[in-house]
Amino acid sequence: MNEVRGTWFDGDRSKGSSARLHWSASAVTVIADEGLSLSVDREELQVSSPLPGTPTRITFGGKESFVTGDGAGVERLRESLALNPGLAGRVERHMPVVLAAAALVVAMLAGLAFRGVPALAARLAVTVPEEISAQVSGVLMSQLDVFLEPSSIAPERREELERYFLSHGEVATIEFREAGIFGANAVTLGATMIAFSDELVELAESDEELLAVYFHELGHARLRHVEQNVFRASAWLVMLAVLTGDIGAVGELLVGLPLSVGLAANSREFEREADAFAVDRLIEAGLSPMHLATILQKLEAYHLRRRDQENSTDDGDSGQTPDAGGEEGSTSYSPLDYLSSHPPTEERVAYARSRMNEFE
Amino acid sequence: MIDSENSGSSTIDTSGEQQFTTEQFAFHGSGSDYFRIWIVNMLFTILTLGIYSAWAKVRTKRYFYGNTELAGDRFEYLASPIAILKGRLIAVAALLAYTFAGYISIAAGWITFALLLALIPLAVVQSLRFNSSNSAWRGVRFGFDGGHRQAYPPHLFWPLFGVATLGFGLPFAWYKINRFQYDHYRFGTTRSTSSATVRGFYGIGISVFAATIVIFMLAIVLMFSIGILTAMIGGGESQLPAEVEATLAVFPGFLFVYASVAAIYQAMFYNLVFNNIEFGGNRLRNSISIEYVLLILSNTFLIVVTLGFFYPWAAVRRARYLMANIRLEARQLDSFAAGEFDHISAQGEEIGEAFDLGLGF
Repeated sequence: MNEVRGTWFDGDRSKGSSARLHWSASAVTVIADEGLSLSVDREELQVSSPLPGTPTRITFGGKESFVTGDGAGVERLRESLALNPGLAGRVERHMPVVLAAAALVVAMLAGLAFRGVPALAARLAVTVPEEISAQVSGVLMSQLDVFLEPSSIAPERREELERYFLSHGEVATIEFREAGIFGANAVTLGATMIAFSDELVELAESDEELLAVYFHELGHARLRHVEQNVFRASAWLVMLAVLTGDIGAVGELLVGLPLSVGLAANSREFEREADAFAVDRLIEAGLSPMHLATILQKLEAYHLRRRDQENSTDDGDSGQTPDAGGEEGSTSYSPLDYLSSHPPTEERVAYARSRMNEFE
Repeated sequence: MIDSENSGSSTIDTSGEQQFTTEQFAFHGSGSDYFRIWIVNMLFTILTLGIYSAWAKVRTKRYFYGNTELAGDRFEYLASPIAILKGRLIAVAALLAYTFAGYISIAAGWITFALLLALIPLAVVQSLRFNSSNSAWRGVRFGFDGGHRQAYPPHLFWPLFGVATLGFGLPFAWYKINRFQYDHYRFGTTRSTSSATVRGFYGIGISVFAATIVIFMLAIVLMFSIGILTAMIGGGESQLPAEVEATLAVFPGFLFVYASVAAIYQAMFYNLVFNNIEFGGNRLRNSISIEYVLLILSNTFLIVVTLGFFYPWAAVRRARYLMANIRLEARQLDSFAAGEFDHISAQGEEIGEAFDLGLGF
């Protein structure tokens, strides 16, 4: 039967009339129950793409429309007029295909998160000119300075350390600050800036230990980890905006969870790379990789001690050592917040030890 | 007409000065149908690196509009995906500019922020025009007549005033926004009018504030007891980094507070706004109850435990509940006349979405 029943709207007034749409090889006609009959041009005929369980809207090049909930009838119309239901319409129809699509979506999202986005970020990070990077470092440092005090270490001692570090690998700026509640720490703020806290300088018992920390940070700087993280976060943001545009606020909150877990995982991987870089450089300089292990162990003991003190004084409040980066946690690095984004100290010490054979 | 067996109750009320029939809205969508659409949308969006998201959006909206029925006829969403794609590209560019400017210099960050803030009222108007003029019922399109300049006081000045007064002025800003929007919608050539009062919006502000405090305290007690319980049971060293662990521990409590407060706010807001709208003598009536909060909480819980896969069913449940609680006191529905329709760029709407202004008709 070349006919489908539905409702006819003239597009002028909000009143529909019961009608049927009739088609043959040569003509399409709409016949309203009230007697109106309208022949329409097949070329102008537009049938909305099929959506499961949703009425179909047919227009004829003007403001008039014919709406029908008769899915089977529309199916016959599509067939006899050779109308394309569209790819989405065809895929949605078959549940096994839909389930395969679901599996594919999960696999591709994981692929994007763990491979695609990091690879893209790594490629983009190396294209950032050093001047831009220095500018970013300046902004991050000024944001950090809100929480920090000027260094109280004697200027001569600072200059001595700076000269010592720079003789092993140049970076534009080395900063020293009194970190207060953040304690012993060091951060990389881009490709050209590394900052040490006074507390860290005091904690180290030899300059070689500080050099090991410097090499670790230099690893972050040279491998462009800060820039990579900026690009990763931006890529995530765009991805989430595009994928969850229709989900709304609670949905965004939900995708925010894997995001924060993902960023923590990223930073662990960056820490391992920076440790490897530091060990390479120590060996190159004819120094033992164990200098890195020593300072890492001291830092762990130091922060555990601080945590216990905090717990016994304010009774409660999580003893977690904040990253000196504060809110910028994902864009700056320290070897110290091993409690969070860093691999366990034991593992890092074992790594340094495993490379002792290269040093002799 | 479509699904006339479902067209809702039609009771005649003769007590008023004029007779009206009550027309119940209804949502006919199903979770499994929407799941098909949703997952295929997601697949194509990823495969096309985001380009398809504009088509995806049109299919989603067509599904939700096409399954919403009033007086025997369904609503229609008629937007072109190309218009949405253009807007989406501009919105993504703005989002990236905003993200990167702050890294280059603090001043550049603030300037970009101020610039985007100044553009919000324009984006809101574009968005309202685009969405409304692409929505139709019985072949007649909706529309929005609010001007760009008129949008600045309600969408920029009064919200800033609300923030500057530490929130005390915020309900007044909501009132101004509501007036601006619902006094400028039209169906065909017929304007809508809103009679929601300042008092009503202050009622919402105070209730939501009080509810937030109560729910927050409830969440703390709840998490504290869960914390003690797990400490008693577990106690072993965890392999997860502490940051992840802390997120996992705080997240449920945060989500609970966030979802319940959002639901209470929405329920009260819908009731106030939709109970005070009139289109040419036809009045909307809305009656959402506390049930809505339970619905949103259970939706949120199920979305979390299914890692997001419950979302299509959650969206359908919500739409079904909202439509089951809104009706129209209809005096005449057959003689709305269509106006000339204009084509509006989707850009405003996309910027609205990327920055989550929470717009919606």
